[in-house]
Amino acid sequence: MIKDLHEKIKNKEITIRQIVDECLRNIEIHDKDIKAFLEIYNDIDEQIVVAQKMFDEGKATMLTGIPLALKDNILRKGFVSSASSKILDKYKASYDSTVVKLLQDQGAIFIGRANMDEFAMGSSTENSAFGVTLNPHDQTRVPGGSSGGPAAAVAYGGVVYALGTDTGGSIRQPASFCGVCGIYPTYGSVSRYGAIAMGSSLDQISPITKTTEDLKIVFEALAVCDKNDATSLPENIRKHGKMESKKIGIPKNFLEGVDEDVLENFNQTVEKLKNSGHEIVDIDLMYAPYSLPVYYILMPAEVSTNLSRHDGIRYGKRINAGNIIDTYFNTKGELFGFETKRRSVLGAYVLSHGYKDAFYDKSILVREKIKSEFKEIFEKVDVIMTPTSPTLAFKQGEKSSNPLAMYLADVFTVTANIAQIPAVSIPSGKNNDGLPFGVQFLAPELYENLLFDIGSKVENLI
Amino acid sequence: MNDDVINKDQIHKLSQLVRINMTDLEENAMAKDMGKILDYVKKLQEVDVEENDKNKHLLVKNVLREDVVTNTDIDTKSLIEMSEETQDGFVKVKNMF
Repeated sequence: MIKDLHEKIKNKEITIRQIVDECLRNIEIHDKDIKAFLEIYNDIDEQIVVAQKMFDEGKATMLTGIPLALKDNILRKGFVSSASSKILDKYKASYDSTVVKLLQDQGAIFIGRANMDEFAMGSSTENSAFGVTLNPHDQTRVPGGSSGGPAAAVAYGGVVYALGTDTGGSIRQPASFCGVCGIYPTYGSVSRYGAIAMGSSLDQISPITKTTEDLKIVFEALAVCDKNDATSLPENIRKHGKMESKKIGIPKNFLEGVDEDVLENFNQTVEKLKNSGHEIVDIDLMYAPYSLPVYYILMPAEVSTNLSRHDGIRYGKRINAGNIIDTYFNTKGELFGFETKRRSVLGAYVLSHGYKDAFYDKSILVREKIKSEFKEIFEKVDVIMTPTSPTLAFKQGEKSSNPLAMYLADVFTVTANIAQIPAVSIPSGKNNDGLPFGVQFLAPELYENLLFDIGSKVENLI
Repeated sequence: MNDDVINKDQIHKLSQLVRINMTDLEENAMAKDMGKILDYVKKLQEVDVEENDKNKHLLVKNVLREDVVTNTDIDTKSLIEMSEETQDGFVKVKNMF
């Protein structure tokens, strides 16, 4: 899609303005119901001029003039980034995130910022302080989360692609629910500078797109070493070779509890890959199924630390009280949503004296076990395949009063974040009601190319 | 704190640690679900681990630099202005007590 648009702009078959107008028209038609966007930027015309000039001067890249949406937790200088929280609802970024800078330098067109679960905490976008985003395929259902706005916007054609963040599945699960592609890249491959932090050992910024080819184009534009992110991987260890995924590992023991229709679609997709010459290998994952409990210790621990900065003093909204300590309590108490409070409290618990050994320290060690296990299994197979989520897009309100049920939506995706290895979600067809299925592939660290290869193969088979 | 249950009072104590005001309603609701969440994460106790596994696979290493200003694209004034209350180039806050 991006490649095609690029060629068309270059050959003057279409103008950047026409592409942007098409997106804005789709937004006008769909967004009054879907509510993927929190804001449409007011400087789109100026951006088009810059992009056109790059084409005229022969400086255009693949992403020049291509419209995108930003998840509401990725900073763009001078514009609001609120992480869909009341505490930041008027917060204007004082600097550009590295990813925004990289795309800006290429003349990308930023269309607007898209809705999300508050501070990226949730799997349905129902935790946004600014309203619920609906699934474009069925408006009674959630778009997934936390990047529900970006995924929905890409799905209905409001933008060509979007940038989201993924801490436990926040890109891949909404991509699956909305029938689009998403990737969690190797931890450290894309700079986190300018992303509002949630779980720092897990967070990555990455794209949501319509096709695997687009996923590769945007990922490669973002995957550069950045001195502003202390965990950014140095250039000399990044791999750029072309690779093919032949052997696919299926962890049968891990697939218990998956909804029947999802499992049936998964098995059909496996069968198609087998018939097209892929070797299917049964694997046992002993430790990876513990990724979710590890996640619900590490993530809240990191959340309670990261979110302590939102105290209303240096930026964001402040609710004053008689003294400064009570001001902290009031500000957070009134402006944080319930899930944000719950994870902060849970984080304080797992880090508290007497519990840190049993929870936090133990989870760090189990994380290493999980990493070792993946390493061993990737000696035998090229990629591992699971459903992206154990269910189809669920109904609004279905899981919002049962946090554990909501958390289980991430049971497959979260394995990649815990192991810090790359994973994609690729659409694998729809059910009779038009709801999209998605399959996930995991690869060894830095082997994103294996995922782009298998992703495009699945696209061709579906 | 008791090992197995987490009640409203404990939720209240924890909320003090993270400095978040919560209503009685919120504390009750949180206490109700927290037990289930903790029971779930306690599954980790089933896993045998060795202490020397710690950080064995760390691909990412902290990158340190000299203590000099490098991000010159951000000016102090615009950062101070982010605060809701400022005076003479300072962030203004309430008294400690």
